[in-house]
Amino acid sequence: MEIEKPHSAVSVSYSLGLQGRPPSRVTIPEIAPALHRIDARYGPVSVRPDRVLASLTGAGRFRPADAPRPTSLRPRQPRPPVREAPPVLDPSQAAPVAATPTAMPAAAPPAAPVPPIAARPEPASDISTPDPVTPRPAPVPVARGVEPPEETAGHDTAPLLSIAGVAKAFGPVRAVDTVSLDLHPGEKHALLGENGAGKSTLVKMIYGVLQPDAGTISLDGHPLRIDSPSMARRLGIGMVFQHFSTFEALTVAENLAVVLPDRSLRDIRRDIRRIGEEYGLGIEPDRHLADLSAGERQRVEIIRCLLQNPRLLILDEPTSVLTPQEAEALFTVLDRLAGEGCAILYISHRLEDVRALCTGATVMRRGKVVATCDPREETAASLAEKMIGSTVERPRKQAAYIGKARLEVTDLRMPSKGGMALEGISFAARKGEILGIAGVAGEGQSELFAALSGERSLRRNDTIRIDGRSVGRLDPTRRRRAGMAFAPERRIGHSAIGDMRLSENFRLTHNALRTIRGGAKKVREIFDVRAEGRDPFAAALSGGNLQKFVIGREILREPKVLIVEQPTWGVDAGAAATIHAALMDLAAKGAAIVVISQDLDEIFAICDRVAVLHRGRLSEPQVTGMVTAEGLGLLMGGAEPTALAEAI
Amino acid sequence: MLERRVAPSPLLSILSPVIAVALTILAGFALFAVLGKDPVKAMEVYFLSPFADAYNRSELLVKAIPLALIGSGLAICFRAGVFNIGAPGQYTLGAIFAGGVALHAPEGAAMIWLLPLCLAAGFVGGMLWGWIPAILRNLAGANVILVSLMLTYVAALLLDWLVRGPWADPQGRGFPKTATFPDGALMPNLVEGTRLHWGLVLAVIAALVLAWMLFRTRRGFGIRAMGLAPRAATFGGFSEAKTVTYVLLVSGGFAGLAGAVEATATIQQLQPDIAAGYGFAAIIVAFLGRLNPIGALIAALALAVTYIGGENAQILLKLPKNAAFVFQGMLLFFLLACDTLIHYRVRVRRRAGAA
Amino acid sequence: MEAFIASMIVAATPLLLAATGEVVAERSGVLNLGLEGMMLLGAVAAFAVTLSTGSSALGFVAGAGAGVGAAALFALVALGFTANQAASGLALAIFGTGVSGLIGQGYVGNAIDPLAPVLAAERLPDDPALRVILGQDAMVYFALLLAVCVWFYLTRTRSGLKLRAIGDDAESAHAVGLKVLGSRTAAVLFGGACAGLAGAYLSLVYTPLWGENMTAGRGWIALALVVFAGWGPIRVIFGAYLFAAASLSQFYGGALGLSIPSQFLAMTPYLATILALVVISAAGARRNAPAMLGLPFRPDR
Repeated sequence: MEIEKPHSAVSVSYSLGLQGRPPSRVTIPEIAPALHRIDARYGPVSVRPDRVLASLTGAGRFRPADAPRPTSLRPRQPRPPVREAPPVLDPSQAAPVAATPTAMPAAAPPAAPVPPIAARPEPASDISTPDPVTPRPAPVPVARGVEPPEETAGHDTAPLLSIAGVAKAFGPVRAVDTVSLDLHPGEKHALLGENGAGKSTLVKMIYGVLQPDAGTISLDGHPLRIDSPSMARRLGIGMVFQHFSTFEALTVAENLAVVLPDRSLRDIRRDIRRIGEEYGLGIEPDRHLADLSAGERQRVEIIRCLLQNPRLLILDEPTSVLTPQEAEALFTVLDRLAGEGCAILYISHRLEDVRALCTGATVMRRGKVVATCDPREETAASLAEKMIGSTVERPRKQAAYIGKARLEVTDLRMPSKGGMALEGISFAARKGEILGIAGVAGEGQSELFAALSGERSLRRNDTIRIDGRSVGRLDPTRRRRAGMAFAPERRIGHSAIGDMRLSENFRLTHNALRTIRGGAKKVREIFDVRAEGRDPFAAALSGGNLQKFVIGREILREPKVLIVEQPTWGVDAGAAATIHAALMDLAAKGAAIVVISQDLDEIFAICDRVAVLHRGRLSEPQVTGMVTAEGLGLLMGGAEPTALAEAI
Repeated sequence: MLERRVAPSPLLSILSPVIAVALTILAGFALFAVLGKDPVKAMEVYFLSPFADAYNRSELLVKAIPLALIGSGLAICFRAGVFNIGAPGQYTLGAIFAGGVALHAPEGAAMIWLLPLCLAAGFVGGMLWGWIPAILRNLAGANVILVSLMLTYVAALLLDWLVRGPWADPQGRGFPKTATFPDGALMPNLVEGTRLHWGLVLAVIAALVLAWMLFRTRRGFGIRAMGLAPRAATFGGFSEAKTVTYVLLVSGGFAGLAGAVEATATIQQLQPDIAAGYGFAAIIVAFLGRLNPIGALIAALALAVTYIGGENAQILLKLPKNAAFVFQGMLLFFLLACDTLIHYRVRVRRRAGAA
Repeated sequence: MEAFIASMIVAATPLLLAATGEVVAERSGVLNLGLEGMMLLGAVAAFAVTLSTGSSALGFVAGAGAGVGAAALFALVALGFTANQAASGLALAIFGTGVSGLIGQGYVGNAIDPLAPVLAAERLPDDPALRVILGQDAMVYFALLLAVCVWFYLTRTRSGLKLRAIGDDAESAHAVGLKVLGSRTAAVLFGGACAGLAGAYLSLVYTPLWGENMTAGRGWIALALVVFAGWGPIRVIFGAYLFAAASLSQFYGGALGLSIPSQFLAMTPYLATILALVVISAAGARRNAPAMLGLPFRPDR
């Protein structure tokens, strides 16, 4: 088997072993329909060409093949044996990877993948027929790839913080499910995971905001019950939050004085200056907080923690608000702190940051620890893979027809109003397609939604076009008249009014349009909205039912373009299934749908194409079937948006 | 400990004003007893005498008319979440504009149009005074409550100056008042022998029109949505700035109309104390009427009872006129407290440990 | 001129007292519109007590006490029941006006001895300016001292810092562990005490009589004053004297050579306040304007 050019499609077909055809130069357009036609029986398909990763990550080493990899996003599917014998890259050969891509194929033993069909996963009974809309899988894969802690820097000292078998559930949802973790003094440890993986909940338990349902947290070997943040602080645990509330009208010193009641203002001022000089966190104590930038405010937060002489410092997504220079400065501070013996627990999506800073990492997914490793020995790609899981979801069935563009966004720019500025976003959503916009929270999703819905005004009319008609400067009502529909992330208070009844909530988005008699009732029937009473208040509905109503309300009038944000957030599995089915139904009828979501499962389940929003910029949309989970993870974690396009 | 209900309780929405009125009567009873004045007699004079005879009943309606007009307009304004407490000022401006037209109408002009013109002028005057807080809020973010409040006193001083200065009655012998309005500018009587005038019809029509606007039109829907959830209203396509301007213009206009009605009907000239505490009582009317223009009609009657009762008490019991404010203030307090229960339940809960 | 300054000082004192108290309340985030009612209740209580006991000191204490009682009523509804603060304040204003009229009915026409100045006339220096400054009664100096103390409290003490934090962001303050409800209630009660003292001053010193509605709108002017002074206690001192001068100028207008009608002079405090409001809001400064002014605080969840 010859692979002449580094062309990802080749690797794809190689992994697929398409119908026994010898891999040859195949172009992408040919692949896409093939992918879409793949029969469900063959299970999830790996489309992760090794070479793609190599070029993405530059200098990086692959893990040896014997390290077990998590299989797919939907763990019920077993790994296809295709992956059992992927080309193994000898670590010694991988060094000048970027320079010599051609070296790699030579190293790849063309073994097992070729007998494709026979080697397909035999236990067909194991594979249940996946349906496009899958309820959130409840059981989580047994922690795979849990490396023994000795992997991380050799620790002869006793762990500072020991978490053993900790669990926390909110109702039926197990946010944290038997997690164990050890932190040593001076260790910089990362906590990685997607949204909803359980990192925040775990950390809240360490900081005393929540109490674990099971398991123990021990400090210096003594099991403890940390009842409150103030107790955590007394024990020497400090936390720098991602979104911290501050008092704008007060000065820096006064802000700190409020939260540190046992210190005098004069002492605080003196300490601020001292710590500022020592750690390079210069901040004038008498400046008003309202005048500080995000990076400066974070410095104040860090100083706040340092004032209490922490032994363990937890940082939650610290670099999300920082410029690269500020991030560098932050790492210097953290290195210094670790050098002094403080343990650091660093929560982040930014894989490059984690690799630069941390000596250990714990990867969580769906409440469980799925991997423990040393980020310095990993590539960003392998970290992303651990975080998100490897294979892409089985691509959904191709829509009957994907036609021309119905929604065209050209060079959308919006200044930030305390959030994220949007920088030159362009994309098109076509007839019959569902376009997914992925990204971690806070990268500009709400701003994008507000720009699309008309809640925030734009400068040029042709920035947004619907079926060719410019609507950029129109208000939400006029956009609805032009055929758009929207469903934002927040329900009560944004897409629905809690103190109004469903009939009036129906009117909320239909008030200037052709009236639909008994609209609310129709929505309730068609979309299975369960609620008590003839015309209940919106506040009385459960999250899932209200969301069904909200989305159903928009779908009922058969819009040309539908924009939804986090359509199944906080929604029970049954309602999520209904919503996904409704969306795909609408697309099949010819609408163009844009789904802005932080849930990769969802994106892979229902979207035809996906783009990633990062720092207010959008990557080039790619066919979902072609995108690797790691590629997405990298993009979400901050690699350049164009990287994904380059790779494929 | 207050605990939010899942959805507002419809039962309490209706019961709340009734409970509040009952509590007011009880508390008033207690207060008078404590102060050593015969409580039974006091209650009788305050609450029963206004219904005693035909003249009293007509006076009740006369007093209720401006309250209803202002209250209906305020109901609209409060529904949008805009707290216009400058109604007395808008009322005053309405009286000023109406008086200005009435006093400066050329002799022999088509008299039949004079009254409607005065009323329209009053509406415009009130609208103007309501527009100022709206524009200051939309352009500069200035607090509507404070601006409208300040304007109230500016309006009162303006009236004072006009009445003592440029518009003073040349035959007034130094009393602070203008000349009486010409006949064409006077509101005709409705019932012989009483002061009841056609303003009553105006008040009822106004309430109906405003209620229709609030509950049956798109704009009214937007107003209600804006008051309940501003962000959702924006999502629904309603502009916050435009809604605020609209409700302030409407409530200002109707307050001005009330001032014009009073000036042309009961007082028939301009005097400095024309506002006579009407504006603040109208706020109570709006709340008591559940922020519903038609409810405001009934609530206006209820508050008119305290006024007429107060006047009767002044004559019969030698109680000060301001004593009526005791009931009004208590009523508002009780109403506010009861209204809380519509959205919140009272739960006795042991506090968790401090964070 | 002397007379004008002397009257200005005396006229400013109740404004200063009431506004100082309201500054504390508003800095904690509570808008109490009921100043007029609290002042009237203070006035009638002070007058009644002084009349029966002959002691002005007791009268002032009674006035402060009445103010506290009235403020407690407001606090119960606006803070306890988290009702609309503006409406609650208006209810208090209306209620206070009525009750004071009712109670004070028997005292109309009675006279009491005015409060004596601190320094007897003979002991004053000859210089006219100094005579005026030093020849005032105790409450004038007390009001000034109180304002300075409040300034010190707000800017230099830990407790004042906490209060300002609560006024800026009650939710954050609660999250940090500050006692929002307790502090706000205390602030409101203090405001009530000051308003009561202001009212007492009116009925014991300014015009040693009781009359219905004797505050004549001073409560509203005090509210304007707080905003005009940008919620700063020291600025309130200057503002109080300025406003007093403005309202007095309607009487002294001719003597001072001003040809503007007196009513327009009387309007100036209100117009100036509107202007100040616009400037403060447009500048977007979150320095002193308590961001949480008037917003209810409900720590459920």
